[in-house]
Amino acid sequence: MDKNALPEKIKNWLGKTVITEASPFEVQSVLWQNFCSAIEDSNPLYWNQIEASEHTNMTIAHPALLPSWLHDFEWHPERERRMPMELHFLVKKALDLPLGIVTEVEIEFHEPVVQGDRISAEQKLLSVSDKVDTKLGKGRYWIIEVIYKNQSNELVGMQKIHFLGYKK
Amino acid sequence: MNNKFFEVNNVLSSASHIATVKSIQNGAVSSRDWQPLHTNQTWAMSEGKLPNIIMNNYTLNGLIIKYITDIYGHATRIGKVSFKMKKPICPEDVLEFQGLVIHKQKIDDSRSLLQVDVRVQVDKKISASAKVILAVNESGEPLASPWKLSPSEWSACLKLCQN
Repeated sequence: MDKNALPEKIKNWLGKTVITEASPFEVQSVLWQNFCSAIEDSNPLYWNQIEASEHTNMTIAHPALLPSWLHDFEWHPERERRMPMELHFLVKKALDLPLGIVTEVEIEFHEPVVQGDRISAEQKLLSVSDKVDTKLGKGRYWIIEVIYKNQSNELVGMQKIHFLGYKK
Repeated sequence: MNNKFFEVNNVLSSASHIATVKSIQNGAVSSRDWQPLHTNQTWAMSEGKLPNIIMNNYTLNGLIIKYITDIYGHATRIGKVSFKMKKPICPEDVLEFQGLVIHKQKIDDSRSLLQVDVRVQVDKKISASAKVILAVNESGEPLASPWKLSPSEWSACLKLCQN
């Protein structure tokens, strides 16, 4: 038996969109400004309507926040919180690798995200490595691609996230 | 702005950022990243087997983008960021950002795409490295802002940097 063989579930997911999700709320400037405040980023494109209008028509969200528009509040009176990057957790479970870390991120920015946008995302499993022995433990690497679009179906970004899943 | 800023081999001025418990927690909470390894010191050290809480990747990406736009100006358009985390970033770490222009490609007479390699060091050891693709306006003409490129023109620019 091939020791690197993948479970059928994983084989079926490879190359396919497994999770499609929609933002739980509209993009709001005060949310991205809270992040800009945390990192002390004074770029007027995120803060100042008049200066931003010379370039982007209106203020825009900090690009680094793009994936976070799919993250809900920690608690909400009506909604149950979904796990961000759900496909990663499904892969971990299917491979019986309880621990996971991000090792590399590639993120490409297309149309800027603005106030009132509703962002949706499609998560696709691109690849899963053979078994590896790392300093953290035995596990596998995998790559998930996420495509982000706005409510007009315009591409706002693409991301590839490299994970290591492992157990002690 | 001195035009050498836009040329290959230009060394960007360095910048520093002090990570604190509060700044790491703020970065995670404001990106709605609720994983306890970014906010709960007890959990991070006991369950997570980490030296302390660690900076999340949104905050690190945000700081890398801030480093670039602080140098090239607020109208700089970030096209792509690829980064690797080599060591967890913890409270009391002093992050030193350093950058080097390694590639330049003209978009038109006024605008160019630059590739800048960024190193994030703590105690002279690399904690993260990044490759950033950005579009700049070298003419200073407002109409040549890289944000004025149409979606198809911008997509074509991003395809250029894949080659």
